[in-house]
Amino acid sequence: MNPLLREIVFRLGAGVLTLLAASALIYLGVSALPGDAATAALGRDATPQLVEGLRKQFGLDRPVLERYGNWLAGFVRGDLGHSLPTGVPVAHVIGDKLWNTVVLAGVTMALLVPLATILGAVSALRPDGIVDQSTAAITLSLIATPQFVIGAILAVVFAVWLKWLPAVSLIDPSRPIFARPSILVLPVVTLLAAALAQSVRMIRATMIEVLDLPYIEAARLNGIAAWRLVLRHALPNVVAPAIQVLAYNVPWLLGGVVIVESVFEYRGVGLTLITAVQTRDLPTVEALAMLTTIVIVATSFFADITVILLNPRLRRRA
Amino acid sequence: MSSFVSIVRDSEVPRSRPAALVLLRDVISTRGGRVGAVLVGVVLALAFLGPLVAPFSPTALVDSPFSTPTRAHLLGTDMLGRDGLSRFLWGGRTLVLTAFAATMMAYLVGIPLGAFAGVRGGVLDIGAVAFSDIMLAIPSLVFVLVLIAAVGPSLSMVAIGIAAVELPRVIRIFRAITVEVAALEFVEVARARGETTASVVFREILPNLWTPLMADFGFRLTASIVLVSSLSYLGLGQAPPAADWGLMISENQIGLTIQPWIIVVPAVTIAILTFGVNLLTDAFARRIGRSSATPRG
Repeated sequence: MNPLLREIVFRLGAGVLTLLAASALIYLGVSALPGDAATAALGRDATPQLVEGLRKQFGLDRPVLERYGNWLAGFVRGDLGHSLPTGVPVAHVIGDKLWNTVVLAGVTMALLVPLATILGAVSALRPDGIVDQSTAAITLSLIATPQFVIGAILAVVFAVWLKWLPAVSLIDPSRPIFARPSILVLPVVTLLAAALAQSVRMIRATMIEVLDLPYIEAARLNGIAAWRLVLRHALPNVVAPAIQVLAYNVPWLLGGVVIVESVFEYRGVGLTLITAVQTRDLPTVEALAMLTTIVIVATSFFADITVILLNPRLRRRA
Repeated sequence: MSSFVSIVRDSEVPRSRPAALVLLRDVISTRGGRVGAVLVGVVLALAFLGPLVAPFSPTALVDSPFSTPTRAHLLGTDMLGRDGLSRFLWGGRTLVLTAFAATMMAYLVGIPLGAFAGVRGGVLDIGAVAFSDIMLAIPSLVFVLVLIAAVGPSLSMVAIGIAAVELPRVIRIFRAITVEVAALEFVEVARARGETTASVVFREILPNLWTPLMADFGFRLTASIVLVSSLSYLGLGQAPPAADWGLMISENQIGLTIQPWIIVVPAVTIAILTFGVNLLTDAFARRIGRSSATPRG
């Protein structure tokens, strides 16, 4: 078999195994905890009869391994299970909210990539210069600040004091989101703040490493201008690490989406997840956790493959 | 990571705790470290001494809801008409204590586990690494949310959940450091002497993990603070009517346009706390010569 193909198959296998293990952790791990989905979902209304009925209705009285098998098989077929106690399919609960979340995350990613690359490259060009120092100060203060704190402060400044933007991002389901782009601004900026801080730091570090290599020194001695050095000679070698940095940011970004959607009441999957946790609708929570994990494992798979394809040395060795 | 080992090797007495204290002094003597220490100190003082100086009970109704700041109520009142300042002064303790407890639980389980995996190798090692890799594929917040949905929201569940998501990260880091330390001569000597694995771990390895522990502590604590406050904000941590900075922000968000102060002050305080811890962590990382990017996920 072609070595490159073998590498891809190997990574795909590893990804599928990770997903299997994660699904076991999410489903079997949770079922080992005290309490069950039916009792949790009924909450204070739970009488032994009601709990028993619900358990029978949704097959919760079956052995746990059998339930796990059915759940997993359903997932593979695209059946995400049923919300409790209403019994509505989880796919319906998510419904059109998935698109809203994709828009939010997509716009954030589309801005994150160029901004992180430009800021990282400019900072690396003159380490300890003005741009570098101010970027470092801002990233250091933003990198660890909880998103709901950033979101709340932005809402007070831009919605209450300056009155430029809406404080909540209520979506009218009958109109496309982009019809009112102003509702996207604060959620996207909040998500960008910390993700950007992390990415800029890592791209800057990679860029400094690359700029230190002999071929750059040779180009410099040949009298090539600094900006050209960065754009033409260094940047292509930063692409691969940059892709990995961005893939590394995805889990964190997805966690951030949950918070940011809650802060701005943005009608997306993250808000659905929080509602499901509050009403203790375990099947919905598990399905959403699994979907998130699939997205993360898939991104990291594609990032790895892209990096291999981009690098001729890895391509040949693989 | 090699830098941790070089510190171990350079110090005259390899297993002394004072080396860690010297490091702490060095960190405080840098500008960033000093500013960080002051910021963290102020917020900690606020969180622990605040309840002693609060003018009102945090749960007493004192005025109409969402009154703007006055001389009597410096931060105005909240959505039920409780004194904002008193709730603010009461609201930091649970955040700090829960975050600290979660971090400590993760260390108590994770460091010995990582050290054993690193020294012993074999099935235990493979298992520990595989477990860590799987856990790292699930976002921290989402994992804790699954646990809370299963068991029900409470502060102790928040602490346990956060400890569980920190655990794989702790195992990873301390396993890697252990592998390096275990290759050093004094460990080989101990093994040649016939010390058992447990004895190697507890007598030779663990005492050498003080420096990496201190360097890692800031990262773990920051991550815990972010998660605890976020879960409180989502209404899944501290239960009402108790005061909590994260909860204060969400329960008063509906009055954002009338009474922003009761949101701004706790929000800025949490930001100061995480920024301060981050400055300290950064100063540590620089002193040890490790990259200072915050690991998270």
